[in-house]
Amino acid sequence: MIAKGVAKLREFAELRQAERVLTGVAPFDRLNGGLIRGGICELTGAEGSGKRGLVFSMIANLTRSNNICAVVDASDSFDPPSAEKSGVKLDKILWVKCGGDPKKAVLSTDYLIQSGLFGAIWLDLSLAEKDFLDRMPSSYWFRFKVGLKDTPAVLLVTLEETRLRSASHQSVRVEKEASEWTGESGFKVMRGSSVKLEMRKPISMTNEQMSLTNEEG
Amino acid sequence: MYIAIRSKSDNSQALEAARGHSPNIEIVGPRMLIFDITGSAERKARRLAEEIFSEGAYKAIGVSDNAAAALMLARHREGVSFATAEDPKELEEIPVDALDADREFRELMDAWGIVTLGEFRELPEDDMVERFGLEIIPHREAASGTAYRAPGWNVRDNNFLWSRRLDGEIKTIEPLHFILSAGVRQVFENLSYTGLSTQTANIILSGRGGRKEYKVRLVFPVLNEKIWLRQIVSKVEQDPPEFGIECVEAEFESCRPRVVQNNLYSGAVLEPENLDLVVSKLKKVVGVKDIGVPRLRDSWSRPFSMTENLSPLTREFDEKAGEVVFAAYYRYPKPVRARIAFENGMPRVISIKGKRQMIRTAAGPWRADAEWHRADVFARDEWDVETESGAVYRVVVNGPGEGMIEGGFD
Repeated sequence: MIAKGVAKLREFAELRQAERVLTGVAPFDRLNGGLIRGGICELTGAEGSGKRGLVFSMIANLTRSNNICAVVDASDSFDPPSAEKSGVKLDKILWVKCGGDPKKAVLSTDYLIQSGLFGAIWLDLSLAEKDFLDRMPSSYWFRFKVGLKDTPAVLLVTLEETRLRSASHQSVRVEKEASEWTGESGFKVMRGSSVKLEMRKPISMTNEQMSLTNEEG
Repeated sequence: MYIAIRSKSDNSQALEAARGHSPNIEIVGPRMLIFDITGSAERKARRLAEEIFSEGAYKAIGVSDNAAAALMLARHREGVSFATAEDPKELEEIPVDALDADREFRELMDAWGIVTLGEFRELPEDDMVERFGLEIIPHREAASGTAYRAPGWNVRDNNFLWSRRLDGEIKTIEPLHFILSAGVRQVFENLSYTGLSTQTANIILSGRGGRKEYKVRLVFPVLNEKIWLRQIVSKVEQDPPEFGIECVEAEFESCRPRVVQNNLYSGAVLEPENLDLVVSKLKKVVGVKDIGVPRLRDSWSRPFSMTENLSPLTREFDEKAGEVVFAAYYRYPKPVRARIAFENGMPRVISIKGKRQMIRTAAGPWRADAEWHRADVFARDEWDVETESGAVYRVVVNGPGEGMIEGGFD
C-alpha cells in the first residue's frame, strides 16, 4: 500500500518535472503550462464544445514551426478547409482516414507512435461508437503511454467523455458556455462562442476562458 | 604539446576552446578533456593555456609534451601547470598517491616517508624493480612525465567518434546490436559532457569482404540510445552487408540540442525511407487510398482531396500562427437524417436519431449551388442551427420536414 503511494508520488513528481512545450493557445498554456513532451493529453467535451477548434489551433502552431503532425481520423470527419482556415499548414499533415472503424484508428496510432517521426499525433475519437470505446481495454492506452515515453511526440486524444484515466498525463474538459450570433431573423451569422477549459488532470481549481471565432482573419 | 583541461562544470566551454586550436580532441571524462597542439613551441603552448584559463570556467590546465603528464597536472594541481621531460618540476610536486598503484605500494611509500613524485623518482630504479617487479616501470615513467598514452581522439571537427575492432567476424544482427549499443552509449556520454546533442550519424561496417556505410538522420537532435539504435539497426536490416563484420565505426555529428520553448523541436527533417515504411504499414491497415496529405480543391461539391505524394511533408516552415482560435468544422462521414419542424419559415425543432431537441438559433437558408454546367448541378438549401444542448449543426434541407446533417462546428 505504502509502496503504491510512493510510486504514485514519484509519478506526479516526474510529471511536474517533465518537459513542457507551449502550444501558442494562451488560455490552454496558462492552465496547463503547455503540452507534455512524450505524454498524452486527453481533451473531452460534448459535440460542439470547441475541442476540435482548440486542437486545430495547437496543430497550426506546430505545423508552422516545422513539425509534422499525423491526424488519425477515426470517423472520417476531418475537414481540411476548416483546418487551413485555422492556420494549419496542410503540407505538414499526414491524414489517416479510418473509415469509421475505431480499431483501425487505434492500430494506426500505435504504428505512428512507434515510428518516432511525428511531433504530434491527433487521435480523433469524438464520433467513435460508444460501444467500442466502452469495450476498449485500458491496456491500449498504457501501450501508447509506454511507446511515447522518452520521445518528443505528443498524443492528443479527443473524446466526448474521459476514458484514459491514469494513462493520460493531462486531461482537459472543454465546455461551451455560449454562442454569439449576429443579425436578424434568418439572416443570422455565428460569430463565435465562448468556451470554458477545465483542468481535470492534474487536478486544479483554476479554469480558463477561451473564445472561438467563426470570422475570417 | 598537449593541453589537458579540468573544467568547473561540464566540457562545453573547454570543447569550444579546444576546437579553436586543434582537430584532435579527446573527451576523457565529465569535466576533463585533452587536445593536441603538436608543432607548437612550449612558450606558445603555455601562453595559450593561460589565455584559456583566464576565461574563468576551469579549475586547472596541464600543459606538457606528454599526454599522460598533461592529464596528471590537470587532475592534481590547480591553475595552469607546465612540465616537460627537461623541466619536470611542477610534475614532481604532485603527491605520490596520484599514481594508480596498489595498496602495498602506497603503504610502503607512506612508511618510507615518500610524499611526492619527485621523491619517488629519486629512489634507485634497480632497487624498485627488485622490490616490486617490472610493474613499477610505468609508475616511474608517469612520475617522470614520459609515460606512453595511446591517443584516443574521439572528437574530430564537429564529430564524435567511436570504433571497435572485433576479435572475430560477426554475421548476425544481435551481436552487432550489442556492440553498437556500447559504442552509442560511450559517444552519448561524451556528448552529454559537452551539452551537445546529435541528429546525424555515419555507421561504417567493414570486414575482409568489403565495407559498407550507413547514414542515419533523425527528425530531431536527441541523445536517446533506444531511438538511435532502433533507427541504425533498421537501416542495417534493410540493406545488410554481404560480408562478415570485423570492425564497427560510428561518427556522430554534434549539434545544438532541441529548442524547447514555442516549438516541439526545430528543423524537423524527414527520413524518407522510414516514412515510406510507416506509410506502407498504415496502408495495410486503412487501405491504399486512405492515407496521404490533404489538398484543397476549388470546387464546392468536393472541396478537398488527398494526395499519396508525401513530398509536401518535407517543406519547411518557420512562422508563428495567430492567436485567434477558430471554430472547427467537422463532417459526418455519412450525412445523418433528421426531421425538422418549421414555424414561420424558421426551423424550431430537430429530431436526430429519435432524440428531439429545440432549436435555439437558426441561420439560413443559405442557397448553395455550383457547377451549373454539369447535368448533376449542385444546388441546395443549407441551415446552421444551434440546438438547446449547444451543438451547432449544418443541415441541408431536402424536402418538407426532412433534412440531412452534414456536419457541425466544434
